[in-house]
Amino acid sequence: MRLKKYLLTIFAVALALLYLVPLIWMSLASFQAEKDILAGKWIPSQWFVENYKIVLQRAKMRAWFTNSLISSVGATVGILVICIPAAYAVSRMEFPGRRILYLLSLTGFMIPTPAIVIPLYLVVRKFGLVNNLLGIIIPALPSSMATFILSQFMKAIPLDYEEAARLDGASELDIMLKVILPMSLPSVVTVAVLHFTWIWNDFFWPLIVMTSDKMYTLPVGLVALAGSDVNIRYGPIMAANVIASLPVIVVYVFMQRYLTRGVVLSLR
Amino acid sequence: MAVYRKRRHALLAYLLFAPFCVLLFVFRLIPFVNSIRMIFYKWDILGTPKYIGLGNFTRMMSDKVFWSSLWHTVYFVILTVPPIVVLSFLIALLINSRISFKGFLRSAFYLPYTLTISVVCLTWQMLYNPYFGLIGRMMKAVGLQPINWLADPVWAMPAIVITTVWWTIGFCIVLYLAGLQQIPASYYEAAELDGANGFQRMFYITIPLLKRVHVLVLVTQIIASLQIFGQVYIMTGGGPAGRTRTLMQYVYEQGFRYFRMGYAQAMAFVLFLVMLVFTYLQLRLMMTSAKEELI
Repeated sequence: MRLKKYLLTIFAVALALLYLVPLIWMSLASFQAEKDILAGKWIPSQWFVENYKIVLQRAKMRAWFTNSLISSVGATVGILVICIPAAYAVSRMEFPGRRILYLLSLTGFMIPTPAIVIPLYLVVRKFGLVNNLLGIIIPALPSSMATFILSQFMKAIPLDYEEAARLDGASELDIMLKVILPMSLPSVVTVAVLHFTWIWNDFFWPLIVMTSDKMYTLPVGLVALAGSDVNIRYGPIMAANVIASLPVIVVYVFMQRYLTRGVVLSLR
Repeated sequence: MAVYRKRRHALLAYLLFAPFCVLLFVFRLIPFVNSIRMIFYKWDILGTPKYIGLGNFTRMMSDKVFWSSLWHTVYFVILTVPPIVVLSFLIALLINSRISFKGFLRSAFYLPYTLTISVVCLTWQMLYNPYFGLIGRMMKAVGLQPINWLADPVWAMPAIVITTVWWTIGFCIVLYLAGLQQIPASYYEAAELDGANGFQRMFYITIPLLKRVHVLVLVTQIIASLQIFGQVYIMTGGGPAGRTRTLMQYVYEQGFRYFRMGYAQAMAFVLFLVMLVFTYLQLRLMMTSAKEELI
């Protein structure tokens, strides 16, 4: 039994390391000079930090990073501001038409972005939001996923808390902000982490809505950089990859528990 | 008094829901209605749209590129979904078994899923490089002729499939792990007492009890794979010789390169119809768990 456990562990860890080879290779290649990469080396013959310098010195790279950060943080905050009240209304308030509004809030699930990409682009263009970070942020706000996760969680909170607060003379808004919201914090974090990573990683929509290269987000910029600039070859591109991955990996490491829970919660 | 309070309560609820509702209408529902209107028009984005009835669809019928793109999309789904379902199930079983380093293992397999598609594709593009790429070197080491994966009409799509499976499997592993943890240990204990072997426990307990997760993974992966765009756009641009051009890639080309808005939207609508079946299933799966509490 012991032996079986050790053998299985060794096998699993070996498999996981094999699985991570592309990422390990990417990180090592980001420190390699061109000739090391072309020679197929693993360990750089000299640690070549130039790649990072080359990439970071590009003004555009900084602009892309800033664009990604503003749009991801902005959209995440906006989603919470818009979806928390909506989720609260459909999950904890009684009013005529509640069921219909709840179903309405889920219609976003049935309409994936690719299915409406052209009319959506036209709406955004009409509002003058092409090449504008608001063109990424505002269409992301009515998130059915966020409202679904939040309302699921809020629904599970016992009514007693609310009634106790009401006896103390708390208003409905007080109850939402001071009783239910703090108790829903795990779902709020889940929604925030999920949406931050989705928007940070999105490629399709920023590719369409950003036509000027100053306004690209990191994913779109990286592809443009790799495809267009012959001076920037493999090493710097891998350095750029590492830079683009770090924020999400950091968020993931700190929020792992919530993220996993959120994925499970939302799709269980 | 009570009626008045009730009305105020309702009014507040509508107010709380209103911002979400307005944005949902402007950025989801109205574009959706417009998307249906657009498929009957010919429009180059500059002039006025011209009504052509079912013209976009008759054009689609005789457009060989449309049919090949549709086939490539289906081909991609056929190639990606089964390995994702099987591999993620097996890896979840492995992580869930009696071993150490579970936290590390879960993170290791989830990590690629947190990366943006550009990072994933640019890295794999280099791994596939026939001259210095890792995969070519490994093939040479075992005496095989390296393949120029992304430039080979036969191997380009499988190469994109391998990258996609690697990238997305972590998400499904998490779903399976959650499912596995919900199976009560007493089931296995009882089975063990009855003398059931590992094989029997797998086929009579684990696999049937995870039915919901199997369906969920299957449905979400089909939905995701039908929309495939980024991998193709970044790694091959639809080539070689159009052999990896999928429906979304073609919609993008027609809509945003040639500005045939009506035609592109008509094709996106076909994709929407195919996806509708699966999004409906997904929504129903999500609702059945939410139902007892919510409505």
